[in-house]
Amino acid sequence: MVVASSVMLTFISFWRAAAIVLNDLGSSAFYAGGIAEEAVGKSAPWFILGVMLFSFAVRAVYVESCSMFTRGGVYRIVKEALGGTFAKVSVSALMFDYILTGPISGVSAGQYIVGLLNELLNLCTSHHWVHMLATHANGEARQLPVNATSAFIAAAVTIYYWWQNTKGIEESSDKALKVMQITTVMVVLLLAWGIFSVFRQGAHLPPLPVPENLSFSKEALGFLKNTNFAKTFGLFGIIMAFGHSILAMSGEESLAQVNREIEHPKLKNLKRAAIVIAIYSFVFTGIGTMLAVMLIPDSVRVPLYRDNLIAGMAMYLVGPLGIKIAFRFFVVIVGFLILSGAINTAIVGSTGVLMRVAEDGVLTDWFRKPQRRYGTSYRIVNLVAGLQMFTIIASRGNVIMLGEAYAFGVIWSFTFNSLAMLVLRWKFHGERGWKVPLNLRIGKTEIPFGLISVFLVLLTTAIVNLFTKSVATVSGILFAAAFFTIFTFSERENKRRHDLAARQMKEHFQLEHQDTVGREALDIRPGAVVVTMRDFASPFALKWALSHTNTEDQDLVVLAARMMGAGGPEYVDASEQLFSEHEQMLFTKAISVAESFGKHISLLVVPAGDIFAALVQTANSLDAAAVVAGLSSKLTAQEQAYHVGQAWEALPEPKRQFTFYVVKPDGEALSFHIGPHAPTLEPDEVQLVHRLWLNLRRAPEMEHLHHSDIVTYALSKMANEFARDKQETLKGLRQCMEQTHNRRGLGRSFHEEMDDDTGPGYAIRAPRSHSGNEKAASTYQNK
Amino acid sequence: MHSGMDFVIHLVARIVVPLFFVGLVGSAFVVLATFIEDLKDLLEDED
Repeated sequence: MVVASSVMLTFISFWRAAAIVLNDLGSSAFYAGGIAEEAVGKSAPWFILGVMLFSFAVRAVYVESCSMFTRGGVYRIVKEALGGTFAKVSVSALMFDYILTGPISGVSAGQYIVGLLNELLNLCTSHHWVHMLATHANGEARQLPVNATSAFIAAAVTIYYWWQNTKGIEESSDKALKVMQITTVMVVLLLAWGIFSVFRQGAHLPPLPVPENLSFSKEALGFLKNTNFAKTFGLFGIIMAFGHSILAMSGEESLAQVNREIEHPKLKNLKRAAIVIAIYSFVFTGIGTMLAVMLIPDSVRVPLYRDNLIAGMAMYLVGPLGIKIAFRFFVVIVGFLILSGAINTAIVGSTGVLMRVAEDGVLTDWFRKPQRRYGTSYRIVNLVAGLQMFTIIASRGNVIMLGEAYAFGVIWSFTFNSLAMLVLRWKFHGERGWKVPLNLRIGKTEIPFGLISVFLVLLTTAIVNLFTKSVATVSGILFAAAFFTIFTFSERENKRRHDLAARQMKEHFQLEHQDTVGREALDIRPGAVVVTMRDFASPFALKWALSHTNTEDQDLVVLAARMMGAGGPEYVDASEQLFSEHEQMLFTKAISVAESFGKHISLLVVPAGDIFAALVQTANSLDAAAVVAGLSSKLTAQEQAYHVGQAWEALPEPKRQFTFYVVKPDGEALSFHIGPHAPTLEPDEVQLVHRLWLNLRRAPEMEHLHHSDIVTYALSKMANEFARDKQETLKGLRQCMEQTHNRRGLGRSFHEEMDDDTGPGYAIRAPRSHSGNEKAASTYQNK
Repeated sequence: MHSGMDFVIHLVARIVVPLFFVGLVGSAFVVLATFIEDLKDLLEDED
């Protein structure tokens, strides 16, 4: 029997969750204003502000979806409400959004850098600084080609993150939090200085968002540019302008992605994260864009600063030029951090969505095959990064073109999500933690006016965008159709293979899904040995554990962790996921190895955000005495043990100590005691205690002296000395350590080298059953 | 061809404009209600 569980996850606070989402959502502040103004004219900041206000309502839809399903992302919700075909269409639109997030963020980061460099070259020319470098022979300032250089920067950053994701990035909310902290410093400075400048030098609000103030560019008219309708848009123009500004709220989907990791109380913290995100993006993107348009003169705003609006705003604040340039440097650094982070978020997010789709059987296992060395889903990462590189090259660094196309994925994934949520109001009868407000009950029927309203705004905007955003419509439909076709054929092929695999599974394994992992589920005794297994081609850790464990006395559990990082694959009930081909091969190999030893094993698969946390939680839940892992390709044994120790420290009580064994490919093993434990004493140290005991024992009053009394006395003396004279104790301890290390050699004080013949030591032994009625039943069925 | 597009877009405009603004009014209420509720949650003491 294979037990698939769903509990081995680590949790984060709502602040960290908000920071992760804002790394994506907040980055649009750097380009949304310029793109919107290019399309609709000077009233654009009002529409950006309107979109950011509307994002509060979209956020409410996501909160409701997350209160129903831990992962309330588009795929999950649409599949539940409208079935597999619509789910594939919506996920195709979402993929278009994700694939474009990388290039638009990267190119925008490039635009900020190139904009600054060109400005510096102009400054050098006007002041005759580094003349040869900054100035042409004709006296004009040298200028870098803006779009081409931006595309180059975007491509370089994408390649960097492609490689990082291929190796496997250790996802950390710490990094997201740090980026948002530095961004917040910039936002506070920018807004405070901006508002001060507005009052100081006087500035006018942009023209109000009424039809007569709208001036659409030729590209912004899309398929309507040659129609008579284009002359008298009226209120329809408002929807068009709203549609051209909708990209400002791209990134809301990340809220659903991060929800799984939010700590208890989940719903309350989700709502807190959502309101922090909404307020932050309203202030940064909405008010920031408004101030930029108010401060930067019309003559330079669109021609010079359209693609680096915030940098332009820095140059038109009140104050000395030197300080403004210094602040612009800061803006560019922050912009690069958050925008390049968004490239990574896009790779991680889209990889996660594709992994989720693959787990549901829509993509063949070929996509999920782990990278041989790093264990990552490198084929999906390659696909995503390849598509992003293609987009960067095709756009040649043109942010406006990318922005045009970008809105397609954003609006359609939101529209499908809200439509699905609407359908689920009638179709879904399970637990629902929270509802979008404005629900009117007439008799037995509840009419969700709030949800209908949000859906109407999204649907009408999406329809209008189809007419006015020709680039988005054509490229979006082509892209989504291509992805839909891949999904459909892949699913068909997978179903054929899955039927075969299911038959094989039935012949070999029984898969049982459990919400919590415990000894009862696996039918094992306390003090088991947990062995991690990742690569079916080299099961050396399992072989080592089997050779050192008597499974009659002690159960052995083989653990496969299904990696699900931050922004990673959405999680649904384990029962809905396919037991992957890789996991089948892993467990088939495990059973064949166990059979070759003639020993019983139990099989367990758990999802994991952090492999070490999952390992430690599983060991604790199973009351395991030992955990055995193969040597990592990236970490040393000591580093592996350190991470396991850190995860153990983070576990809540009650927790059990265990021994962690790292097995090298050559069969050599190192052991580490996890949790507080007796130190490993060298024979000469034991000798010293014993000699003292012999001498002291000669005194008649020392008749009942034990070895432990000597250690206790020595430690008490040391504690007293430390309290009295800390420096003296440290000095003495240093000398002692030097002597000891010279005697022992590096590292021997905290780990013991295992010899294959000696066995794994005391800790791996299971405690004897008090009842004496030990179970010997098979914990897996291998028919 | 342009007259065909004109016809389609006039028809679309007649449908989407009222729906958009009705939706916008409803969404404004959603924003207001959820903002107050969530702000209370945010400012509330930790449980």
